[in-house]
Amino acid sequence: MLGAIPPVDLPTWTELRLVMPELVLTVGMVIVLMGAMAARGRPGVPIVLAMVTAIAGMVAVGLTMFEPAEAGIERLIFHQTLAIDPFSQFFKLLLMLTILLVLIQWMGLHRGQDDLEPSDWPDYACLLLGAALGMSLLASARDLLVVLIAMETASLPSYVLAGIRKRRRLGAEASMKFVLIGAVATGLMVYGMSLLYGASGSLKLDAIVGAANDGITPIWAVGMIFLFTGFAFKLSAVPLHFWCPDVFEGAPFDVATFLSVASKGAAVVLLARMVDLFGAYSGSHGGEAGMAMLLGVGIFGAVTATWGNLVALRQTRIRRMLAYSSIAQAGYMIMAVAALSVAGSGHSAEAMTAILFYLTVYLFMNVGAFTLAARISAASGSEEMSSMAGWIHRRPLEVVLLGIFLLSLFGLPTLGGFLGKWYLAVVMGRLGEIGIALVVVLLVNTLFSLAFYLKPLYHMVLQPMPQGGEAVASAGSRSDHSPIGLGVAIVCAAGVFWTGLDLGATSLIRPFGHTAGRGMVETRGDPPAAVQQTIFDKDAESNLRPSSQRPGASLSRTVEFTGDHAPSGSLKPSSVINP
Amino acid sequence: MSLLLNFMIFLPAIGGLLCLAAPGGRQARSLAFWVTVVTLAMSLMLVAAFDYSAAGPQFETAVPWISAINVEYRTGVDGLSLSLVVLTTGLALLGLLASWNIEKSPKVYFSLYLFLLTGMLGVFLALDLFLFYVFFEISLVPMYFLIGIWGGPRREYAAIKFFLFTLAGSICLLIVMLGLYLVTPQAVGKNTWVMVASSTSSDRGSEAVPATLVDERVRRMFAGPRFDLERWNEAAGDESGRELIDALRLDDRSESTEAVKAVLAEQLRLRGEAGLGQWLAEFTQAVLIEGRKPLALPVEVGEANLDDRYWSVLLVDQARGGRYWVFAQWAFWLSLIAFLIKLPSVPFHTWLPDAHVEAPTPISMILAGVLLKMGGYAMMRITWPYFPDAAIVFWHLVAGLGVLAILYGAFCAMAQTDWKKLVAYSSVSHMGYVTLGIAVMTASGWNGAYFQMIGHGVSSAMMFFLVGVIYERSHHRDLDRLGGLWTRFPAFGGWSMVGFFAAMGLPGLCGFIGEILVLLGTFDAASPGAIGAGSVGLVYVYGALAACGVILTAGYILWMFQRVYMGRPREEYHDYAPISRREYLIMGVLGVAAIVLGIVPMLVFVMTRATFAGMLASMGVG
Repeated sequence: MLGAIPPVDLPTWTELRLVMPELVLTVGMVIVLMGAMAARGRPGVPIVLAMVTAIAGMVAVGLTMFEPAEAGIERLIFHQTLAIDPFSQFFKLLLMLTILLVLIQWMGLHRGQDDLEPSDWPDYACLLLGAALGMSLLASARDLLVVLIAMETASLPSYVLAGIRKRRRLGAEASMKFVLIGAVATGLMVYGMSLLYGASGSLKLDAIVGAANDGITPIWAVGMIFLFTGFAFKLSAVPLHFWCPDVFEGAPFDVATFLSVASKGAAVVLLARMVDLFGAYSGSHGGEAGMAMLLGVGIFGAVTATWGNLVALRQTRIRRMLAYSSIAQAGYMIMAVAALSVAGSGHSAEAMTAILFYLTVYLFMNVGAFTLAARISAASGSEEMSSMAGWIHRRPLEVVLLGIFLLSLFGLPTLGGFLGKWYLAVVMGRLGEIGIALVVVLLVNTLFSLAFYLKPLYHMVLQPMPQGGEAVASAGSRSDHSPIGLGVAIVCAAGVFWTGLDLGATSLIRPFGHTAGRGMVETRGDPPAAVQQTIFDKDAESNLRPSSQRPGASLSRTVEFTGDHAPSGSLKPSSVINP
Repeated sequence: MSLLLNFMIFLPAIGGLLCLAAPGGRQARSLAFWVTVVTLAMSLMLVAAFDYSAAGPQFETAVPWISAINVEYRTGVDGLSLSLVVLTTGLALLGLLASWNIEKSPKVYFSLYLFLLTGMLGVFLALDLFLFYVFFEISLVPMYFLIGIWGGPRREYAAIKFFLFTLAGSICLLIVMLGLYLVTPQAVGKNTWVMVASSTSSDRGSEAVPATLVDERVRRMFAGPRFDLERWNEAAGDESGRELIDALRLDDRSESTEAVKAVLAEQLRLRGEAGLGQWLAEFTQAVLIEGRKPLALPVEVGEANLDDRYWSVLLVDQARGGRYWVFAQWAFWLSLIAFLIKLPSVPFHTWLPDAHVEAPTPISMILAGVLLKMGGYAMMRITWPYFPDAAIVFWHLVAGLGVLAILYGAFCAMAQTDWKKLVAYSSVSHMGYVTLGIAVMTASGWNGAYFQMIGHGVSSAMMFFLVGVIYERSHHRDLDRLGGLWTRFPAFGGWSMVGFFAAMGLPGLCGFIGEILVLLGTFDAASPGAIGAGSVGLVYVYGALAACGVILTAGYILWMFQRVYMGRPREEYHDYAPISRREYLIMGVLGVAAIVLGIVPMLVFVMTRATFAGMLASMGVG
């Protein structure tokens, strides 16, 4: 006897409109493949089509981003499995921009080179869009099943992309490592998900974090740790970071760029959403669980940052150095995510803004650094930094630009990295003693990191050019001298200065950070089928946030005079559960 | 005029970019030359237009910059920065003349040199702490490359050491800034980075001279003494104090406010309006350190004032054990370390000998003449004004560091056989006087410390140049392989005498004024009302030890002079090129400056005296 068949809900038009960026990517993949078939003789066509898709994706993101006229509104669609809020949409905008920049960079790198055969170009473009689709879903995921599917959608194309240069042994090795570690990570994560489902009876993220309300049970904690392990893989955070340098080295430079920015960004956004939901709930149980989460995530980030920096110190190849640097950078962002885990600190919006700001800066500086590292190492025929001695005399513009990106990664004022780190540090600094410890970790790491960020510059600028260097250079110079790659770098440099000098960057990003997560609906029971789209009324929203955090209010929130206690944020559990 | 000031900061950077685009090294050089000449002229115009009777910054610009965190682009010049600006632009021109014969990538050299000038001017002219930090940091980058590319054999090591040391200091400063960012809104209502209360917005009249200090509310927030309940009760004469404290200590804010209001209403009923005012005034007395002038805490009474943000913050904080005071102590030390590294002071000085020895001559001149002064300037501009009470509490330690630096630097200088290293260690010793003079917080101490910075800027730049002149000819700096130079270069020997004796502190030359004033200021600290009044013996020990430094200085300078200039000339001297007119010009200008400053020190004091008197008074000393 079968029970009553539950009614099937067809997606509404609103829902379809809200997932437009994902639809654009999907359609783009099909068009790329079909275009490749149609234009057989011209292998460049699919690449151009992919670029068009990225631009169309940006437009689609823009439409969904601004469509809910009132900022601060989160839309939960498809039975609350996806959250389409300005926070996720802003990341998707960055994602599309990354695809576009990576494809332009790719044009500068592979044209006329033999190691990526033209017959592979459509595959390359299609896989890139596929991975981006997964990341885009990941940024909106609010349900463990979606997390799993999105993560696999993002990972599987990445595995292939890592080994796309079929004739390179390093590429095959990288791909193999990537697959193996990815499989392990997925396995652990799925196991963690099953535990979490057992602990909470739901796959919804908010129900799962809500389950901690009655105290953290061991099964919940173990499940959460395994889930984070899966995230750590995508974030390339310690302890699942070691695929990162190998894959970055084996994969083409552009794929490495893509993975280092987009994959990490999606995972940071997902982590932030999850911890933020947790923080919104943890207010109702005295903050002990929040403290545990804060410590857990904080240590996770601190270890990742420290480990990445320490190992980066020992690298001699520029690409491995950049890989470890990207591990460390992810660590910084994770440390700021930790701030979201304490409810009632009332700074969730500030933290979200800081993370988005850092992601933006990180996109510019990392894409820029990778692009130039690719050009210079292609021209010098080696990725060893010592082989780039005296390059300032040969390619002054490129070396200066690379210097700007490296110093921005380090965090020199007037460059984006500094302001980004400043915002992260402010967010951490609000957390009391643990926060101060995190700030100290961040700053000490910054100090370490100078040593290896200066290393390429040391070789390129301070060291004299070796004798006969000119001949070596021309022999190894298979890269084009086309301005395409340089154009990407200049755009990125403009971005680094734009964010670093704050020419409106913060005020642009702030509204998106102020609208994150915190979509509180009762989901432990069956959600009413009629509610497919949850929009808070304004009163509920203002109940959720301290007054100064409403969109448009200043980021520098004025703290009221309550001695050594956190400002009494007005996050009341009752208003949380029943808006 | 404020436009001119901003233009002066960025003109060198623009010139630096143009230098890169110049067709050749010679063009870049003449471009850099004219840029520095114009910069110097502009700084002299500032001197001419400066109103010496007014305290507080002049020619101010304030434009919102990073509005999310209230950072402003705020620049201006006041008595504390004006002489240093002139020193910077003057030394920049002389340093440029000294680098006339740079052969290695001259375009890049002059470009970096000009960027460095922008960074230095920005540090001295920024009135916003965040902006200050930005300039403080970005001035490191050109310096790193200037030492790292054009330096001596161990240049890479020296450059990275310089960068890492200073950066470690910057990170300490960054922690302080984060702390300030997080806590100042609680007193002021918003984040404030303004290092100097604006003169335009201050209507307090001329007597208080608060315009040379940070916002008074911020400063009071970091007021030192913990709340002393016993003294409060004693002063109040009953248990009312305890009731108020209990009310303040309630965790819930609204409950607490209600309870405080109830207590005050009770007191108002008992004592009347005037009596309550008196009662609260006694509170302010009760929380002061002995022997210091009372800070003017607001004691107006009434319901409205209870809600006054600052007043409540301070009361609550005091009642709960002085959280801000703990922060102030940490912040004092962290910012002090940041600037002691830059100054440098023992034990953070080890980067200096390396950097100086490896840097090319003009860069050594700039490094010793200007960059070290950033440390002393920042101590006077930031550390002391923000955290005066912490400075008073820890003054013994800081003064001790100063004395240690004087003696240790002098002994190290005495032991050197490398001429340039000797001069470098003499800088450590001389900067010890700056630390000591600032630490004692007396008017003559501060004026002396400041004059010492200016005087050392002239004399150390001159010494490094003199060493450089000989090094260019001998290609070594070994004191044991020199001797009898005076016979070969009589005029050079004469100017050398001026330069080295100025550093030695010979009366009539610029080094003397600073040292003697610091010594006098140190002994002043023992006078009643000053911070050393309770520990006269120690103050005398500091003074006596610092005075010994003068003797040690004379020792190493005279001994060095004897080894280099006296005795029989060496054979190889005949091959040395004669000293050019350009070189004579540089040492002549510096030598004349040393003499003029030594005879007419009022040139500097006219800018600083009123400023320092006002600053010290509003810090509660002097």
